[in-house]
Amino acid sequence: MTEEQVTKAILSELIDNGWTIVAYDFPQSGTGKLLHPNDITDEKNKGGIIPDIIAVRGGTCLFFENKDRVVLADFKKIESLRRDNRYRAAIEALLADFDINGIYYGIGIPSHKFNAQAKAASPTVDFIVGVISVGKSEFLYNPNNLTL
Amino acid sequence: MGKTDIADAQIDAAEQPDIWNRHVPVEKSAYVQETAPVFFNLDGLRVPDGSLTMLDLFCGAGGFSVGCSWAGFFPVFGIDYLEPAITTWKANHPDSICCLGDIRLTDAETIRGLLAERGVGHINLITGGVPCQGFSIANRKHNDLDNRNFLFLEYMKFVDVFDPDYIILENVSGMRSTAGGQFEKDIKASMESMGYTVTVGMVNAAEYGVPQVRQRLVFVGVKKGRNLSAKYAIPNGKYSSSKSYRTVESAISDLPKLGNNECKSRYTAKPSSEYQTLMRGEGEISIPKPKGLSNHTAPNHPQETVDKIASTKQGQPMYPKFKQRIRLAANAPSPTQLAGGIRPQFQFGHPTQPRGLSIRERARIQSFPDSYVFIGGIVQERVLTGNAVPPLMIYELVKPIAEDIQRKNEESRHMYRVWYSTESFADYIIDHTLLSSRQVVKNKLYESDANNPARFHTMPDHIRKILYLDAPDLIVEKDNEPIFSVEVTTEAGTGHNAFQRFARIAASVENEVPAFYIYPEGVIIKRKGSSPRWDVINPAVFKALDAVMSIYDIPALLYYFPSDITDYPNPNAADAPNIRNKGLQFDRDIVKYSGCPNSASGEMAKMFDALNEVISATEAKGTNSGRVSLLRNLVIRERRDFMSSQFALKARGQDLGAMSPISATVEVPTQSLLNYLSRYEGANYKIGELLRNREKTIIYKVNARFRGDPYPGALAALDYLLCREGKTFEERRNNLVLVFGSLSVDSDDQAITVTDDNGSSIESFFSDVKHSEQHNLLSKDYSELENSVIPRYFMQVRYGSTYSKVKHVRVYSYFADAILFPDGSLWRDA
Repeated sequence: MTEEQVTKAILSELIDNGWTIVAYDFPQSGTGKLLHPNDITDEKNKGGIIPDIIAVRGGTCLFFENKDRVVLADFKKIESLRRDNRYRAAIEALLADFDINGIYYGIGIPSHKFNAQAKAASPTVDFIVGVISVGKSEFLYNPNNLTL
Repeated sequence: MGKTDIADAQIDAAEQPDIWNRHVPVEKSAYVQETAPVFFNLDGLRVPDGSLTMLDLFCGAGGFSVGCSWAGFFPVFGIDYLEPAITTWKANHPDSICCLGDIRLTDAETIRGLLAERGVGHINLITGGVPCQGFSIANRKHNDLDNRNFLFLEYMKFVDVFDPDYIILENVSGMRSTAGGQFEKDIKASMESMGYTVTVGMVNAAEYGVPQVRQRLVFVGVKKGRNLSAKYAIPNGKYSSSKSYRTVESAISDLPKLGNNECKSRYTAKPSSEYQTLMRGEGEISIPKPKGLSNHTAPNHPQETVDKIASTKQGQPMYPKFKQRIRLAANAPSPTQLAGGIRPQFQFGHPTQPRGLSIRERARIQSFPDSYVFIGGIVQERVLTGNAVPPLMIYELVKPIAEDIQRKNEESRHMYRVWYSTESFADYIIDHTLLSSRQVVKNKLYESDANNPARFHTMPDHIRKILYLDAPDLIVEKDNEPIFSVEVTTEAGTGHNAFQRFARIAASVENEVPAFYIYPEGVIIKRKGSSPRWDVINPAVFKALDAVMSIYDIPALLYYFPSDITDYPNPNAADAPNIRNKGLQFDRDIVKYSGCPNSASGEMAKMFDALNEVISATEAKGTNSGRVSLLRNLVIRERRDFMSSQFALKARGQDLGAMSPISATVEVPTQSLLNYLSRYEGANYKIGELLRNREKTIIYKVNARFRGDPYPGALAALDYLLCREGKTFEERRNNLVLVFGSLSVDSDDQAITVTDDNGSSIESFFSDVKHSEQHNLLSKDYSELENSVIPRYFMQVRYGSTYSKVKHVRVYSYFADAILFPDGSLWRDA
């Protein structure tokens, strides 16, 4: 399963369950929304991030970083986002049209790739979604009782 | 001859059961095979190359087999339970397998296995003239519960097992009224339940050139999901009005006259009509010529019958009690020819001779060719010729079926492979073009050995060649030949950025592969302190693409990425509905076609049309011939004209020289360049011919630190816009030089100076080249290579570091005759 397939499988399930897709991206899709670090708005500035999926339902926002395998750097990236709020302004601007109560940052991977490393790194993220097949995913880590 | 020839005189009215009497039970024919089915010619099956294959169920004498064979089908198997039918069918189909037996006692799976063992896998068509006695209005024992009415279920068992592309079931017109029309509905529903789209219609054989009025109900089913026509349309017959129907005279007037009980086996006259020519194997349809004249024997009438016929006017009944038994009218088509029961008397009187028709004359009226021999004795041959479906009508009905299957086979012959950067884009192109009905395989495209060292070498050579400069988003190949590439971007196309992807287009066209470029007409940009506004495409890109097309005679076409720019131009960009996506309209299906342009837009529809033109041209003419003819294609020409008009519209009178990146160039005498490079000459070295031979030099000034995008693409565009006159960089009018640094020109002294404003250094170039060398395996020993890496090593042995250098290094070194840095230079000698 490629990163593209992981992202599209999650998108499919989110859309089917009434989520509004605010942003999505996968390698070479050309759809990514570049989020600048706080207080830096020059479009050409480095340091920007492109979220793989941002979805909103009700007052809940899910922020995904997806891969075709477990990459610990992604967990660190998510941890940084949660902890440092470095992109808060950009995220808030992106979600300006929505009334958001909570933003949850997590990882999307093929379900069968969930391994001991990912398990150990789980507490650094808000959720981990495992893709089994298109339209069929499961929470591998979900302390906040989120639902897709 | 088969059974004993029983003369009509011996069929005494008193002995003959009255088949028209409802109270008399239906007689069973003595020729029915009631015991276990018997197979014939199991070792003699010979299917001609290129034939479509068919099964003929309830084949009778073989009307379906004959008509379908004229259209290109070969009947591999026929089955009937009447012995004279199979005897006749077998004699006329010596290379086919047949079965004498009740279809209810056969097993379709067994027959499929028999055929598979003999090399027949797929069956294209199953035909069935399901016995009509149960449905026939002519059979006055018409009975809805007649067992023969349910034989279509046996037919459907064969359909289920063989799963053919097409099915045809034919029956008498009385089927329509049977059980209040329920049988027709049930048959249609049964076919549909097996995945067929069904057409039901009443056809009249006379409208298809048969010299007989014969209404039949036909069911034609097309299997869904096989790239066949969506639905079969019954073709109109050429003989649409009764005034144009072929007549009895045109059918049989050339056959020799016969006296009572006389037989003749030679023609005595030439054909006198187009129909007779056809029947004698000399017409437009490829029909064997007969070996002499067969089945032309007059019935043996008692004198009373001869007198009866002689005294009857043409077109009138000979017997008041039996209205169907008429003396034929020469100048009209025959009424429906019947079997007339299991031991029929003659039905029709000859129009000009006092006798009943010969079997050959009955065969002619049914459009069986003279080469088709009937065997079974005169009485059973009447049954066969009466029950048969007319081959000529079947031929006309089946011709479009054969063409459809052959078209599908032809299209399936080609294997398409789509190389993609994203699977979404591959699906987008496949689903919206002719590729959706072709055999297509999708493969991930790996850009370079530098980007994808683990995978790049696994791609075929002919694809790698297109990638030597840069990789487009999609390449489509047919039978291992690339036929087009597509590049899509959502970047703002202003200034130099318009050419960021140009090298990909150039690489495709330089390999004679048509290139399609999806580019935004504009993109909404929001800058701090100002309102959102459209950044509009740099029109110079149209000129560059046109230059590429002019040199290579291969299409390089641009299509606008759909956007809101037309309806919300500046200064109303802020109102654009898709402002979140920079004004771009993406496809609504963001799962299947993630990141793809709105497929419902007019621009994309035009692009799909153009892609289809490329596909069709390469299928029709072959890949090479198809590609080189494309610039003459009207759809392609229209796009080229549009691009030209868009340049004029968007340039708004601005000179090309004032547009990026041309505005970043300066033309100098080549002597100026040579003077600059003379610092590298010495006693043992002089700058080579290549630069010297061109009078002028175009210098692209990039006053920035050494880097890639957007400059490689811009450099490629400048080659085509200002320098190139032929298909290689050697065929340039002007030298093309890239300067990283600040350039000053002294025209008087023919001197140029390159200074540093931005920290640009030749060391950056060397650093990038050295960095690329980390992908180089050539310095390794064999023992250091893992097995999976050996093919990559072998590729590098052949191509060196062609694919392992970083992209901008590849592009600069390909397009630039020289690269000048403040602290060093690189140049070509030849």
